[in-house]
Amino acid sequence: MLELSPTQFLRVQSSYNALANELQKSNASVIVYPQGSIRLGTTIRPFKENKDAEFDVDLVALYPVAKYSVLPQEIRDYVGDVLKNNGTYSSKLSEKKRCWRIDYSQQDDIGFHADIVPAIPEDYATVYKILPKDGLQEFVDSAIAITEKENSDSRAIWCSSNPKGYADWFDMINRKNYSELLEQKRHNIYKDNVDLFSSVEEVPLPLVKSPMQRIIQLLKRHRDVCFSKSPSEKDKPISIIITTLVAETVDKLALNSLNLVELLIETTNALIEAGSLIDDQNYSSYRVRDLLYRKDGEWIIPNPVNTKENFADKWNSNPAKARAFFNWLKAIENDIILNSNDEDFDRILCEKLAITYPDPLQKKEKIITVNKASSSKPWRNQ
Amino acid sequence: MTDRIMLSVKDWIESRDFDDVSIDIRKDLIVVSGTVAFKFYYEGYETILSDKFTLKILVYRNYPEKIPDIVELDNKIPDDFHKNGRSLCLGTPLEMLLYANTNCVEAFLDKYLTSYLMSFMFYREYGICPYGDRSHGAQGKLEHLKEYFNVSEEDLVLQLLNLAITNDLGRNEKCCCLSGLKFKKCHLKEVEYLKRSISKHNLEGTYKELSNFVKI
Repeated sequence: MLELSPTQFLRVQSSYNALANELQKSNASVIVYPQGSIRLGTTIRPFKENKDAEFDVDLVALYPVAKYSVLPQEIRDYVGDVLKNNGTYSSKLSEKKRCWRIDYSQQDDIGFHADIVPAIPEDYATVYKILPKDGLQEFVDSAIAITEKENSDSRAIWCSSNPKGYADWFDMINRKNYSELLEQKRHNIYKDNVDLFSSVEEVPLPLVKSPMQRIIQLLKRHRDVCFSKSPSEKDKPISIIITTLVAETVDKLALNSLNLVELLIETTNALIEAGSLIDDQNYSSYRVRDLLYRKDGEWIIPNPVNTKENFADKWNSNPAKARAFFNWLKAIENDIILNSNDEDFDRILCEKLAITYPDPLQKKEKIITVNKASSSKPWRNQ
Repeated sequence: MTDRIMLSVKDWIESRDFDDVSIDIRKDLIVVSGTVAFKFYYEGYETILSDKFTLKILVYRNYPEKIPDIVELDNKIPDDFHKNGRSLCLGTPLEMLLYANTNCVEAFLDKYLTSYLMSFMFYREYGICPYGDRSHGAQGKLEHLKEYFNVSEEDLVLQLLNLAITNDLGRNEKCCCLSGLKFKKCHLKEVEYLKRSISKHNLEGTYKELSNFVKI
């Protein structure tokens, strides 16, 4: 399975709720919430070394304390100590650049790990500096300060992040373009899983996917497969870049096609236009020029909810990353767009995404909805 | 000439989840045998049930004059559910003929066979048919005609049924249901439709059976 099924999603959710409970036992004021693709509904199973790998589940553990009252290393150690002293988690724990990782792969056949990012609310001075452009300013309220460690020996420093604001921004675009469809899909998920949910409202929103979310999943998968055979795998475009560019393109060009292929072509074509930037620094007539541009020789993909954050930051210190991005766009063009009129498109797409092509002889089980109006009544003579 | 019945049968098979299926084409009928899976979502009950049935479906060439016969081969459906010998009793003959008259085989199977199996599966689990079933025999036939004419009195059902046989009410006369409306603005449509869809012989037989039943 490439994405989490409703059952799997609920299992992941109960795992992190249990984790949140443990963190709350030592400090009742901590707020634990999901961030990243699990929150955005764009999760896909990672593909590494030419095979499917573990899901990443990203969580924020937010401690409502003032920034001046605590050092980044202190909050990092505090969360680490709580987890180390817990029988359930100590053996599954490892430290990463920005988070503590808990590995659930041994315990659960879904195959996932949870990354817990210790965080505190961002201070006002910083919030003021990162204020986004008009219309998006409300999203800055949820900015947080997180800890970052260059290597295991160095001390953690603060850096600014806003996963909740980003997710709210993403939801806003998604709802603007697909509100009716999302509602209908949520109802369908409920109908197909009445054993899991007792009402439509119980269906977690990340399970409900618009064509925009599907495109993001599809492009992420294509990226993973495309780079898995390439020496530049370490330079492959990061998910937040793909997610941001697709969402901004959908929003800016007011794309609301319900046809996935159509939407995919529209979106990637708009991005491919931007690809001419790599040769011409002053080219500026393409449609998505505010989303991806060069200024004074620097690549810029702004975070929509944080003006100071540049998602393409690493492209500037490592031009291979920029080249990898534009090469990948070319690969999408070759693999997907140029084949979109082929009779065998479904099969070609599956191949490019390293997905087993469904056996046409094996039909999917359909659910037939029955109700009073549509049904007849059995009768017998005697 | 296109074999419209055959095409319609094939469309139906295509749209359902058959494990294995064979189609035997004979002179007067098409016999479909196979195992088919159903999964139902019951609106109002918010329940899902699924099961497989091995069926033999006999579709007659003179459809819609003769409606399809369906036999369930695994005996999952007990005799005390709606069955006549080994045939499934999908509905009253009259209502099925009325439906078949304006609907293809595919639509017929979708409505009557699907409804029957979903009713049975729910009945097996919870002891009731989720959206109702009919009383046995003449009582069930009356229930259908009450629904069809949208009236509640048995006398009225008989009078309206009789009109389809005798034709002795003018378009501009008052309707026998005492609605005060002219016949053409009231039950004429239902009576005419009955007359056009069902043979006079069949209507007379039904009338006789039901009037005897009501007398008792």
